[in-house]
Amino acid sequence: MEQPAATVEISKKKIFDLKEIFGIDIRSLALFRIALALLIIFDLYFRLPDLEVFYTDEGILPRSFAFYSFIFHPFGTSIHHMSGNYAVQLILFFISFVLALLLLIGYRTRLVTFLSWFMLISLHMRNEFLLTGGDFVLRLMLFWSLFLPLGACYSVDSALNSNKENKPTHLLSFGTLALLMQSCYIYWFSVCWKLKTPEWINGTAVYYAFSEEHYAKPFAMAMLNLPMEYLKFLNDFMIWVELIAPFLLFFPLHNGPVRTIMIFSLATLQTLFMISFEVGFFPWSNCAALLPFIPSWLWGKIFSRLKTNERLNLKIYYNSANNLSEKFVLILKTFLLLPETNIIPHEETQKNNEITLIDHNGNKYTGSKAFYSIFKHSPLLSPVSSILNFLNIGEFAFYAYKTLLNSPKLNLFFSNALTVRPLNLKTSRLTNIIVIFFLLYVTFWNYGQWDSKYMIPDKYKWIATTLVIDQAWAMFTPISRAGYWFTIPGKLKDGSSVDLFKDGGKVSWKKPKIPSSIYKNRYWAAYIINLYSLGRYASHLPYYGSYLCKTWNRSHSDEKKLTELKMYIFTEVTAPKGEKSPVTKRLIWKQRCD
Amino acid sequence: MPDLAKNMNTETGILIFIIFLLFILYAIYSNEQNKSSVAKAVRNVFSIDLRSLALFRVCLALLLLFDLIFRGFDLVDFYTDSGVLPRALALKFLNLGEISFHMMSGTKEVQAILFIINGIFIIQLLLGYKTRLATILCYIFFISLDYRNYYQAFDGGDSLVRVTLFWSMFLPLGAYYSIDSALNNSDTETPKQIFSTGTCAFYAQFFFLLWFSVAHKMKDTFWANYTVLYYQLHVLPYVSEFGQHLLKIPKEKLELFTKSIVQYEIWGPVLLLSPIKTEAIRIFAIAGFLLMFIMFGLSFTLGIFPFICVITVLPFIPSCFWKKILPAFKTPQRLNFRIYYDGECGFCKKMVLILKNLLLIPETKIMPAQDDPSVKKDMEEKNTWVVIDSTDIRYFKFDAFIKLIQVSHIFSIFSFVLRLSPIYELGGFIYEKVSNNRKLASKLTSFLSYRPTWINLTEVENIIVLFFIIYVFNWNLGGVDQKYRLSNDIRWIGGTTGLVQAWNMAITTSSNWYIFPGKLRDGSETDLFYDDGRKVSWKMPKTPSGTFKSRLWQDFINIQFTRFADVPTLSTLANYYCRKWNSTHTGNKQLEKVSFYAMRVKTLPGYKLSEPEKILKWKQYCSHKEMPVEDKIREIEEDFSEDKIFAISELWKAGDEYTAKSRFEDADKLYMRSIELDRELYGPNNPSLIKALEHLHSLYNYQNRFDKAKEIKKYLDEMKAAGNK
Repeated sequence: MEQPAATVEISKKKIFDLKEIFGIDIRSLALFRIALALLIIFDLYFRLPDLEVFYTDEGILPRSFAFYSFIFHPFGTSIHHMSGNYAVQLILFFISFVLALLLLIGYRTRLVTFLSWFMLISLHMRNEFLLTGGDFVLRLMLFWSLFLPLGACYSVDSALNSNKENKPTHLLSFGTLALLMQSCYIYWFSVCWKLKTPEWINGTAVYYAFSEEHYAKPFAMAMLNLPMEYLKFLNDFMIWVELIAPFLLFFPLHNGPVRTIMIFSLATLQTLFMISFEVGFFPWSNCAALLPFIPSWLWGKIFSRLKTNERLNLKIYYNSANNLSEKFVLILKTFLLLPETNIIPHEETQKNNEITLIDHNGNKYTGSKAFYSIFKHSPLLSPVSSILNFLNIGEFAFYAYKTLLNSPKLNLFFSNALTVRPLNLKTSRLTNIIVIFFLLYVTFWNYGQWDSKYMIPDKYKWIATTLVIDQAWAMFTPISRAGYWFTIPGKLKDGSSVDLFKDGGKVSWKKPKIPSSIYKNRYWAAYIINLYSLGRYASHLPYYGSYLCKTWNRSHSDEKKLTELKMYIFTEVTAPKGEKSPVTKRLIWKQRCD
Repeated sequence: MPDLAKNMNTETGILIFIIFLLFILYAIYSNEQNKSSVAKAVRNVFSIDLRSLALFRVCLALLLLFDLIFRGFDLVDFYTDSGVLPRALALKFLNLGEISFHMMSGTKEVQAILFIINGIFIIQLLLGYKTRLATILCYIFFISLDYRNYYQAFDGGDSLVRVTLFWSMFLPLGAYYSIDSALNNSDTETPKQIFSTGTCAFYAQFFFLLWFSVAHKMKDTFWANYTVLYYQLHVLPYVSEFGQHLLKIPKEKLELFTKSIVQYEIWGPVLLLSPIKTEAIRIFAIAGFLLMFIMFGLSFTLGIFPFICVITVLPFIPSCFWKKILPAFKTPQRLNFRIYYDGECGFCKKMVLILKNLLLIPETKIMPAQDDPSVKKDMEEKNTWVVIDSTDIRYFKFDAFIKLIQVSHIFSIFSFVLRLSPIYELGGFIYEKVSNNRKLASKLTSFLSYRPTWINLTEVENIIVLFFIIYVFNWNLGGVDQKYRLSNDIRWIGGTTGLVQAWNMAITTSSNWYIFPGKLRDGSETDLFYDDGRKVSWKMPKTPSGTFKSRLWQDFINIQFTRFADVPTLSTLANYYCRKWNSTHTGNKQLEKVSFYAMRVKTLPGYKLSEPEKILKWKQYCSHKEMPVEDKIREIEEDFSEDKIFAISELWKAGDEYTAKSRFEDADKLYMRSIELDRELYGPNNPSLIKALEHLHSLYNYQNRFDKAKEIKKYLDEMKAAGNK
């Protein structure tokens, strides 16, 4: 008699899975990569209008001066130093942009990550005065990404993967640990810094922070009207959240849901931060830093809903005579999120270079209809598939597909560019050792700021300054109890005065309604505030002044030409709640324009 | 022979150039099948043999490599911020478009990395792997080096290298004897010679080099009586010992010598262009050029100039040379040489092909071992490749490699080295390792792919080359005749591409040698020009050109003191010496004062030199001792009583030091004294005085001493008004 082949498996669920807690899901990694690429692109885009001012020799920081004007990195290396020419800087910006695009689609990801990181560091080192918290987070994220396979999923690299082994959905290595730790250090060491500041301890820090005029947005200014107890509560709440939330990200039980909730709460925190203060893209970078934490549990829930019967049984036939056709379809399958689709070569369609789709019902679609059907099935595009159909995007896609395959030059170019190569997700032992070293280094660098006994000795500090991984998460610490704003009255030849800060507006000694928005953009704000707070303005102001003279006189007629300008800073020292804050006016610069 | 040198004028030159261009265009754009003998003749004359080009490539890469290594010895001095040329100073020389990667950082570590990367690309050029890419990268890096250290841009050798590298980008350097040719998978056989706009450009550049150098020599009537060489041999910073011996020849012979060299510079290139019996005449012409360049090289210390001149001539070596030489290599020994490799191993095939090409044994037959059963048995049993020589003896493993080296006549000397016991064992060990890991080796070398060798230029590239030929001609013309000088709008093209050139070599009647006396604290003096701390000697060294530390220093010092002798450059050099000396000496032996003297000597007819004239170029203190400001002023004025000019900057420098110590009132006194002195010596309303006053004005504003600033402004206006009277 046959015994039933009963295998009773008792799969013990581990109490906690190291992979889940200290590892990263490759889908989160893909999302993280996309976020980084978008951050770089937007950063470049917003810097572009001021390219001449900040990055050429005709601006406020010509290279001869820039070689000696670093803030934290005395020997900063930057490829932007190779020329002070506007055209060349534009080309370099364009190269960074192309690299960021390649990072976005995940093409040769490891190489592109390294090059993007190098270009970003160069950009920062050319002019350190424009940097804000968002820049520091971005470059650290890129640094740790050098040790991670960002192109593991949802990328051109993964679409053209020739490695037949099963891809792990979860990666665990010292690289993943380092990235997660770095994101948490931003919060934990910020708490350390806070605990060293008296204002944070006695609860008044939030009040003073909201009254830093050069950062506070209208929301913060409104919050100032709350009674002191609420502000004190906010103060303590901030410290507790920043301390506890990152720990909860690693909570061993029910890691999936707990982590998701903590990610949302930290993201909310960042949003609150963003609406209260003008801090550039710091909240965005921090949210990007949270993306690697997204647990497999969440992805599982999302994708399980997407694995409908329709999607599971799709078959796409491509033209086997044309090498590019298969690659095109593979890339399409990856980016439109249809991983279960079967891709099969079909001899029959060879003549017309067509693409054929057979869905779960056995219906056959060819040509542009095939594209439309693909869009309908793709979880990414199905909500908008009717709009796409209306706009005939299916036709357009099919036309592009045909042109790509039939044009010999394009075909050759793309075939050479898109090569099938194995994707390697394993981290070598050497990489792990290097990462452990850097992780320990960075930990001590941060902890040494809390307890100076553990600080990295001076002769090894060059490692951090060369690789630009030095960090100090001293946000709003120490609290400056003063806010400031500026005016630059300039005297014109015909005797009138204009405020150069407002690009020629009327001079007014009154406090501006929203002092944080008097700056042209956050780069100008960072430049001016950095100059003032570092006390370095003396050597820079001649360049700034000459630049203002030059640009004004270039675009104004003779009687309206600038003859001299002065720079005033208004400081309002915040008094404890209820008392009046005195405002002082000080002249910090004067120069002639001829 | 008409004395063309004297009778040529600019317009004739332009006419000749236009005729040349027309011939080229006709030859390029006429059909290949065109029976026209003119087109055929032009094609014949302006073609380049690809094997000569390969020789050119190897020699050029070796020159670049050695040059890089020698520059590396001066890395800290010239390429970092702690030498004589910090980046901020170097920026002052650069024009629009002159870009340099080496500006990226001022630390020696980063520069070292850049040098290493540069070296890798040069080796890539040497071996001929992805040759065109390698040429472009070497070109970019070389320009970058020269623009970081701008003094090199004036060096004739560097200029010629730059220009040669530029035109090489349009020539197929990797067609023969390279990794590229080894992995060539095109069906058509590689042609032995080519004609293209690229080759015409190469010829054109060579003509420009020679003819414009003659034009520069003949520009002045003073030189037109062929005394050029006489004067050139007296230019101290460049003439070598051998050149000084040449001066012993009586004057008439020297003049004849000069005349013949000048005439050869004119007619030699014409010999190259001879349409009849092209190849035979050409060999003579090339021999003549080589002799001429070797003479230059021996008579003058010109750095790499003679070497690059010789290298530029190499591509002109005609095919008949190779036709004669190569058969000499086709010994029976080599004709029956066979190499069998493991047919299943892609790496093995590539390696064998590369060896065949690089070791120059093209007659060797290469076959997969699987083709011959007995060989296959040997291969499998002994796990090795099999090399069979003309006597049918079989060689295996490392012995086979040695045999290959032996058969390749050029490298056969190395076979002796390879047989030495330790190297032999090492070779055997490496072979074992590689052959056991063939799969891994295949994976690692998979980047070496088979591709057809690139030979021809596209239409667009043709147009670009033609444009640059015209541009370079115009540039050279503008150097000789001011009328044709290029306008500033398009001068930047020459700067960006590194095509700036001026073939006027050291034609002056006077020259300098230099003495840098430095006074130590204990009163003694040392000549800082030399590194060994020797005493100052005012006697002229026998061969001043040999006293320079390296060719970079030779160019730097000569050009700085004749062209760029301004306050920032000279004070940077002085500070450099102060820093260097005081970091290795202490106490009484510390350096206190530095001065630079140029000893100027005029060349007189009759083989005599005038008495040297002592010219003080710079004088300054290394640092200032703390003392009451009146004493300081007195000290400086006493010290500089004969050289009051330098007291102006010294007083100012002292003022800066006092400002740094926050002794503002004292600093004021120093500044004002400096300004008064400036006014005494140069009068009011001179540029340096105005600049100094404006600087003070800004300084007081920065220090928030607005009343003082107003005072200075009033004084400034007074000065301007006084000058305008």
